[in-house]
Amino acid sequence: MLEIKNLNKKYGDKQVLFDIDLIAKDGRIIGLIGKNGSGKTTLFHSILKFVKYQGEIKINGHDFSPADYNQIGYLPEERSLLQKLTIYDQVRFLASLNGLKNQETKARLDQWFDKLQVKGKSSDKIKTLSKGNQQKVQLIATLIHDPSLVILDEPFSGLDPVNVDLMKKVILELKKHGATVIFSDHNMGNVEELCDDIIMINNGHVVLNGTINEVRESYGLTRLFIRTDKSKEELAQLPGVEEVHPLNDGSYKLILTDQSYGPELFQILSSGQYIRTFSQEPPTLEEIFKLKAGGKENE
Amino acid sequence: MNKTWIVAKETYLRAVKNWSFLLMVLSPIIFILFSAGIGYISGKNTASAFESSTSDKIGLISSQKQVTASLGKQYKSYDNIAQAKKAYHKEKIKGYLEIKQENGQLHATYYSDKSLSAEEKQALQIPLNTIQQNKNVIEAKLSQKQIQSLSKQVIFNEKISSNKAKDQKEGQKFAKKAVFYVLLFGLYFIVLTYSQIISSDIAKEKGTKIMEIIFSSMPGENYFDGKIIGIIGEVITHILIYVISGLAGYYILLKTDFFTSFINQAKPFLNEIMANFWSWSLVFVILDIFLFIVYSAICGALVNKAEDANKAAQPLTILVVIGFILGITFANSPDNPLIVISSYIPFISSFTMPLRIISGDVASWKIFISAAILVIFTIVSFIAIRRFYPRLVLQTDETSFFKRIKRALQSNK
Repeated sequence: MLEIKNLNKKYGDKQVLFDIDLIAKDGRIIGLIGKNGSGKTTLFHSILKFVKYQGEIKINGHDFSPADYNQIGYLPEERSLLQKLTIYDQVRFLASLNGLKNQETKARLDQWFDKLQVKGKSSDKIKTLSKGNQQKVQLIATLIHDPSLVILDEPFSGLDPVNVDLMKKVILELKKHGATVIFSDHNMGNVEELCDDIIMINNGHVVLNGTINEVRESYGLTRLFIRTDKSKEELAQLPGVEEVHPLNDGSYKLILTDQSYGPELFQILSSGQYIRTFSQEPPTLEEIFKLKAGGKENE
Repeated sequence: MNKTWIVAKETYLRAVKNWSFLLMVLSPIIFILFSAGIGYISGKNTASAFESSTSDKIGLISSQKQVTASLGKQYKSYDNIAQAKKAYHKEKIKGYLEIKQENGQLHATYYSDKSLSAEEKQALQIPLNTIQQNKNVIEAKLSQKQIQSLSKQVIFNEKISSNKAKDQKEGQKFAKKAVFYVLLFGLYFIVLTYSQIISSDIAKEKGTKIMEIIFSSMPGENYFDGKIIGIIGEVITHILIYVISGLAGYYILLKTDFFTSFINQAKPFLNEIMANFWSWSLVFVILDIFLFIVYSAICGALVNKAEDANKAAQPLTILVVIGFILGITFANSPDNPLIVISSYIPFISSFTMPLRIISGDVASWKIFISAAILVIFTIVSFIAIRRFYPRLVLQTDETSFFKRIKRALQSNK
C-alpha cells in the first residue's frame, strides 16, 4: 500500500506539486492522469526518491527504507535499455539489483518470454529487437522480481493494439496477485477500462480523486444520447439543452445544463413517437479530463 | 551480494570483457614485442651476415708448445701451413701467423692481404716477448738472485680520489628522477585515457535513460560508489597487466645471454628504483587518479550524449596537460615558484610535488600539508559529487548546461 500525505515539491521558486494526497491500496489499479507538464512524472519521481520533497510518503505503513527498493517495479516513460547488451544480460543485471539470483532470473525470463510473446532469444542483443519487443523486455525487467508496488509511466505509448491488450492483461494479473499498480496514460479509454481509482493532477494540484464511477457521477447524468427524427435545430430548442452533437451513426449527443431535464426531455421526445435510443449518462472521463484540464467544456 | 558490489562487478566485467579494453591494454605490449622481435631478427641477420662475409680470426701455426698454450685461445690453431692457407682462402680466417724458432730466437710471420692493426700487433708482441724472455733466461743459465733482479719492474700506483658516498647519492638521485618520470608519464596517460573513457561511458548510460530504472532499484549514491569501484578495478587491472608483463619480460631477458650481463650491471640501479617507487610520490599519484576518476564521472553526467562527453571532459584534459607540462618543463628547477605554488593545488600537485620530493629540498611537513590538501579535497569532492551525481544523471532533457546543474541542485531541496 502506498500513502501520500500533503506532498509538496518545489524546483527553486517554482512549486510543481501542491498538497498531494493519495492512497493506493493493495490489489488496486490507480490511474494518474493530467496534461503534459502537470506534475505526474514529478510525483512518480518523488515516490521513487529521485527528488527531495516536503510531505509524507509511506510504503506499507512505513517511511521509505532501502529494503523497499526490491518491492518497487518502475517502467519509465521513455524506453531505456542498453542497446549493446543481450536481453539476458540486461534483465539479469536489473533483476540482481532487486535481489534475484541469476538462475531464478533465467527461469522467470523464459516464462515472461512466453507470456508476452517476445520474438527472439534471451541471447539476442537489445538493438536487434523491434521497438515493441524492446518495450516488452523493459516491462519484463520491471516486473521480473514480483514487485508489490508497480509504477508505469505511460506504458502503452508506442504499442500496437495487440501488444496493448497483452500489456493490459499483465496489469490485470498484477492486480489479481495483490500488487498496487499506478500508471499514467493520456488514453482515457485505457484508464476507464483498467483503473479502480483515478487521480488527476492539473498544474500540480489534485483536481480529481476517487473511483471512476464516483468521479463520473459527480458530474451528473448530463449526456443524453438519442436517436430521433427531429433535426439538430429542433433539438437545440428543447429546454435544458446546451449543445447538440450529431454522431456518425445518425444519433445525437445532447449536453444538458442539468441532469434534472432528462425526464422532461423524454416526455417531449416520446410523446406520440417511437424513440429508438434514449440514454442519459454521466460525462466520459475524457470529457471530464478536458473540462478539468482547462480546455473546452464539451466536445 | 550488496547492490554497490553488484554494480562494481558489472561495471568492471563489462569494461574488461570489452574488445576495446583489450585492444587498448594490449596494443602497447604488442607494439613493444613487435619492435623487439623485428630488432632481434634484423640484428641476428646482420651479425650472421657479417660473420659469414668476413672473419676477424687469425690462424696460428707453431710447433712451440709455449706459443700455442699462450696464444691458442685468441688464435685459431692449425697443424700446418696448408690447412691455414685453405681456411684463409675460404675466408674463415683473415690471415695466418707462422711462429718458428731458430737458434733460440722466435720468428713470427703474418700472411694476409691486409696488414695487422697497431693494437693487434701489440697484443701479439706482448705474449711473444714474454715467451722470448723466458727462453733467454733459461739459455743464460742465471742464478735465482740474478733472475729476481732482472724481473724487477716499475711499481706503478694509482691514487684516484674516490667519493663513494657521493657516487651513491648521485645514483639515488638518478633513480628518484627515473621514478618521477615513470610516475609522471604513467599518471598522464592513465588520467588522459580514463577521463575520456569514464565520461563517455557515463554519458552513454545517461543517454539511454536506463538510470531511472536503476535508481528505482537502489539509491543513486550507492550506484555511484559501485561505478567508481568498478572503474578503479579497471584501472588497476590495466596497470597490473603492464606490471606483470614487465616482470615477465624482465625474467625472460634475465635468461638470455645477451641481456644477463647488462641487467646484472643495472641491478643496483633497478633496486634503487624499486626502493624509491614506494614513496610519497606514489601516494600523490594514486590520490590524483582517484580524483580524476570522480570528476570524469561528473563530467560525463553533465551531458546527454556520448559524443559530447569529450567536450565535457575537456577541463580535466587541460588540467592534466598543465600538470604534465609543468612537470616536464621544470624537471631541473624544482624551486621555481610555479612548481612550489602548484604543488599545493589539487589535480596539479601530483605532477609537481613529486618533483620537489626527489630534489630532497622540501621539508616533510610541506609534503604532508600538500598531501593533506589533496586528501581533503578528494574526500570533499567525492562526497559532494556522490550526492549531486544521481540528480544530474536524471536530467536528460535538452536544456542548457547551466539549467541542468541548477535543476539538479534544486531537486535536492
